[in-house]
Amino acid sequence: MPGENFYTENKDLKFLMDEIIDWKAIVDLKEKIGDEECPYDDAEEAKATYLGMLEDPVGDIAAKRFAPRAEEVDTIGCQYKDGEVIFPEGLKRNLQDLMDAQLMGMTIPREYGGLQFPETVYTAAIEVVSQADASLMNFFGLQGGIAETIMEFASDELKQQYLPRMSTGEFTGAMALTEPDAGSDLAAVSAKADIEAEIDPETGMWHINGTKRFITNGCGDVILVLARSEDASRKSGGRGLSFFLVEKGDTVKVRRIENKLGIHGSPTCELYFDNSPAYLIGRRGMGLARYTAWLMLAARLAIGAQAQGIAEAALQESLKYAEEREQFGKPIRQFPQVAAMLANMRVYTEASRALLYATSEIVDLHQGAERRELKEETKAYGKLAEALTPIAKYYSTEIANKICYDAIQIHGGNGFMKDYPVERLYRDVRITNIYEGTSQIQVNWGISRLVRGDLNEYIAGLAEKVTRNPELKAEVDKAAAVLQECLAFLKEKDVGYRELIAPHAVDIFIDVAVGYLFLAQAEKWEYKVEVARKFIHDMAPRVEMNRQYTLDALLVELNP
Amino acid sequence: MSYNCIVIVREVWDTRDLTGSVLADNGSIKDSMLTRFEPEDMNALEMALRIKDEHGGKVTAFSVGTPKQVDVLRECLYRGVDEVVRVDAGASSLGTQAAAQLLADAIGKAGQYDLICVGVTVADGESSMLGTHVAGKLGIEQVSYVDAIEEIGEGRVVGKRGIEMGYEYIEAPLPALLSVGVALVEDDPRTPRSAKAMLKLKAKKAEIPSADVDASAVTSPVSIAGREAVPERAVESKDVAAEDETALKSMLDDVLKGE
Repeated sequence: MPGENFYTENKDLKFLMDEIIDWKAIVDLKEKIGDEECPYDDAEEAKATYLGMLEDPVGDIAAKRFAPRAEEVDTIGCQYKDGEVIFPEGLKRNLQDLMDAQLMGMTIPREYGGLQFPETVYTAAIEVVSQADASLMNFFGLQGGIAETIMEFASDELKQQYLPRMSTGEFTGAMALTEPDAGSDLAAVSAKADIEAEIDPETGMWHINGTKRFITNGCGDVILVLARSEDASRKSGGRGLSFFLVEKGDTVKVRRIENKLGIHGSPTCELYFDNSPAYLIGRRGMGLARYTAWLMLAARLAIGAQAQGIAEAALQESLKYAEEREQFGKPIRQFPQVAAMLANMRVYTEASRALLYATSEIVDLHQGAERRELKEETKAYGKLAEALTPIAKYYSTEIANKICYDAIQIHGGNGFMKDYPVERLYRDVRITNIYEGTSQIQVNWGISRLVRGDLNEYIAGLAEKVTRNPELKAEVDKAAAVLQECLAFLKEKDVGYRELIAPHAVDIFIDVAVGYLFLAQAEKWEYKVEVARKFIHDMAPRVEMNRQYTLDALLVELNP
Repeated sequence: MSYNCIVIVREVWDTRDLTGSVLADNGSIKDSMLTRFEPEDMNALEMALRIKDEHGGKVTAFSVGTPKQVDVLRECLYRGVDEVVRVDAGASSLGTQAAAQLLADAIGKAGQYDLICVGVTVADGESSMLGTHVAGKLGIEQVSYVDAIEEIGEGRVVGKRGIEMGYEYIEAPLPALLSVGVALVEDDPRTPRSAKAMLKLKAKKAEIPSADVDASAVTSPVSIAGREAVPERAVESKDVAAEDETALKSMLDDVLKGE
């Protein structure tokens, strides 16, 4: 019965979790099997526990509680009155349900009251929750990145002080990076952080003054703030920025919340820090280069999963509508163009999912290797995670936008009305390829790493895993050769040219990677042979088009 | 004031989305058949847990069956019950009265209780009268088709149940047994709670204790003597053009003849 469990009903996601993710490799690195504290006897038991948790509570609660409240949360939205953010009733209940289900600390270590689950499980949970209500993800899905940043870089005292309360959900988090004049260019951040020497020089307590804008859940309890701590004349740009933890209090004022196109259940705040007490996280001057970069990688994976969940919701709504809606005496799904749109929506939902979870798997391996202090593996997986995460975020969010666009098209005039959920999905999805770095920023990151050759071995490894369907593989091999031709060409080009064609070259990489990933999946599920065939059939002209754009770009400024 | 609540839970065949025969060639139910937590028992569990949330106390879950048949007890632990008790039915399957006797014996030995909750209807075994029999054997009052607890206190419970065109409120002295209906009356989609992740992690290997009752002392003259599947019907469809009157008449004749 559809709508009972958003995990078990999602055959593709369940297949990836059951058959594709290499849980043993992840568990071996991230858990100490045999240790008294470890709750698993072996990797199989860990896997069964992870997947059991995705079914209940995650899939169960998403379908039965969050999804039915999504419309009300969207319609009422968050309100602002007298300096306070007021949540709609449905959102309050959603947050209480997340707390009751003990899901707010999914990746936080068990010693701090969390579940200590891998990123891949968390990514799947974010997808499932976002399918029900994309705006709720901004509480559930950002909690992990914020807690992990504290876990990774803050002092033991701060970890003890904040992580247990983040695990229970008593505290939610926010990251305050953007300022009115510092959006994509975070090096321009101007909020000052001045040491408050006269209070107690021993404690090293800092105070922050300044304004931050577009802060998701800025009314949350634990705010990670990027602020200028160094004298700009001596350390300018990003080198002068440090990372701080500020707890909600009288000195942190919510000035207003934004009136947005979508994700109405997620308050976007303008914050004013009025001499707010702040704890320094990590080392001075490393705020942007190390800690923000780390946090952003985690957040980007989460936003990719959010988009993936919205895409799945749009696909399911479209399938249902195209079956029920009859025109000219038959369901509209029987008309060739509608059928083709539905098939494309499914193929590309699965394509972005394939890349998203291949990426989350690498992120897990990287984190595991880092915790085990395996230097070489940490470096190798770290390089891959840094390159794949922005690309996966770019692909998932762009695909999800396209799928929501098509979902409205399939619904026709009805889709334009608020009577059907696709209208909300179309609005909600629009932010995903903007926040946590626009698609343009993501592909700039991606192209620099592709040209550097960071993903060459990865692509070769994906190709090696394919042992069947040689004629399909040969097509992907051809695209892989085109990718290498383009990358060799780009090595000789300047950064400006590379960034100009970045979407095209990155798209070739994605086609190659997804082509191989689908073929590997096809060896474990017959249905995927057809998915791979369709994807590979369609990618050939696309790869050729992107090759031509890459090799012969034309930038003009037109002034009539 | 706090209350000690007992919930009786059952694991039943999952009959959603069934296709084809459920019987194997030897007449037994196919191994591939899945089981699930009886939905109305889940409502009964939710009712007991809400009493605990509001008033404090303890919730204990009982289930009859072999260890393999009572995964539901672990599910109860995941949702926050304090104790679970498996009641061993012995080798043979039990009729409703025999199961009720074993449950009453086990509950009687478990100490003082205020309220017993159980789902009113179950999807298999037609053992819907289980709650009634348990109440009878324990000598306590029983109320059927309760959708929600309206009030509990001062030695009494008031249950709310939906009737045609409205609700009625039924009061019973404690201890009492409530058979819980399908709907928990709420404006918000408050389906029974999901598992609690931390509890699930901690209780996945928890031991499920057995009640100290003697299954062999309970005779069960009722048993399943055999099963027979309804033969699958092959349905052939025919396309008949709406404007072809002869074909339409012929089709109607076939239908009327039962062909």
